[in-house]
Amino acid sequence: MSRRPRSRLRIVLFIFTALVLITLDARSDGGPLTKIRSVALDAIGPIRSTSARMFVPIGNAWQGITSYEDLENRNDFLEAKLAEIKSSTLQIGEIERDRKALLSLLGARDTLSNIPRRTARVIDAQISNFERTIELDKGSRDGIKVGMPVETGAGLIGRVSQVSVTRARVELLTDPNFDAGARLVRSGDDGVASGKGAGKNLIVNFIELETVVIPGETVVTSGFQGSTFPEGLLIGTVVDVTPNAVQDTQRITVYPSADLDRIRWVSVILFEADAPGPVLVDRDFPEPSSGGRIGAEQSGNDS
Amino acid sequence: MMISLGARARATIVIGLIGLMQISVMPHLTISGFVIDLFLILTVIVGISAGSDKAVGIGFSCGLLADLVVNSPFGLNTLVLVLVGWGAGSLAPQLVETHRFLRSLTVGLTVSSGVALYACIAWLIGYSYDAENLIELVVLITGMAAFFVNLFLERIVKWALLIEPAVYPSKI
Repeated sequence: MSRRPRSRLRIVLFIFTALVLITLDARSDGGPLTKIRSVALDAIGPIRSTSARMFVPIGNAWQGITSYEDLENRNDFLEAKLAEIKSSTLQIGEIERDRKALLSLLGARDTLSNIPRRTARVIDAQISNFERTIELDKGSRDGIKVGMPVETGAGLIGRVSQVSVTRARVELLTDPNFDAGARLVRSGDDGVASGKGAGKNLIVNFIELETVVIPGETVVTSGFQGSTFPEGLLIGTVVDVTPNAVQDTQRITVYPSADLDRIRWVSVILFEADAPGPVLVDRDFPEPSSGGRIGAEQSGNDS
Repeated sequence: MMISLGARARATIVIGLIGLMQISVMPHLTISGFVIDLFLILTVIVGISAGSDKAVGIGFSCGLLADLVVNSPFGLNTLVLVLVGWGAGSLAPQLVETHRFLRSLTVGLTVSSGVALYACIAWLIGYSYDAENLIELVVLITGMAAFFVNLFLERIVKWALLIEPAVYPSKI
């Protein structure tokens, strides 16, 4: 065989192999390719941790040079945010006390605070522009599994998308593949929150047209049965509402409450969708006269 | 074009070092938050310096390595880098004896095309990614970075693959 047809055959063979790999990856969830990637994730983990320690100061200096204006704007934004948070801290404490009192009155358990968490250090160093995941220094040996929610003190940041023995990768909530059941705290109406890409706000769809939605309203996870998220995880605040009269729904734009750009530490909530857990209090609060009945229903559900 | 054992060993070392830099150094030296894709740049440089045959092989190896460490569909990087290597290699005969600046410019443009090709194939197979709405910026920044990276990476590639340095016609 002459050189030219042989080299063409080689190119065809390589393209064919790549196509087979793409097909295999798409068809086998958790198959051999996932295992190979997990091994690679474990193997490169120590290199990435060491390099993160070495290069983060250099990277920060580099960022200072290449994104000075961004950093300045960011600093102004964070200062404004800090002032806002300072004024609302006292209010939150009071609301939290009221919430706990109400939960105990209704005989419901505060499931969210009872779910165990695993704190992990973040290696926020994306290898490619075509994926925005963050890497955690904890893996399956620490009890982390695919699908578990991840949060910072400020709110939900995403869910675990890949786990190896010592490492885990987190898909951020801005990722276009990200979907989560969401609830508007004020009205209690439920929808689905979806990521729309880097630097963009989330969109919550399927909110009924009659529901009154006010910008600034808090959005949390709805935690329906089978959901990968427990109820009540803070997602963000409403910034815009667009009615869709044709579908009889509203499209809500939500600003994520957690800062996704500079994450250092996170908590992985060891919550499994199918695991039997305590049922939360019904969001349709009862009339005062029927309070006892609801309490009885609740304990019935728990058993 | 046969590759000698020595050249194979040097190419393996270069790919290994590029891979190491891609996973450890480059994520921290981003430009406006975008990572410079050394695997793509290496494949294009090999294509323009040494032709399709070598570029396709290097592209395949780099693609597999990239697929191992990133979370995108397995094989997507391999497919893109093989196609880019083949495309860049077909430009080689026209560029071997041109000025270094022109070669760098071609590397930049080809790398930009490679990023656009990745986005197209990702769209075709239904793969959504976070920077989807910023793809023009990714194309622009990666291409510009490739222009500068080529200025020193080209020499390393030529050393690794034992390619005689081309002389610009005006200097003869």
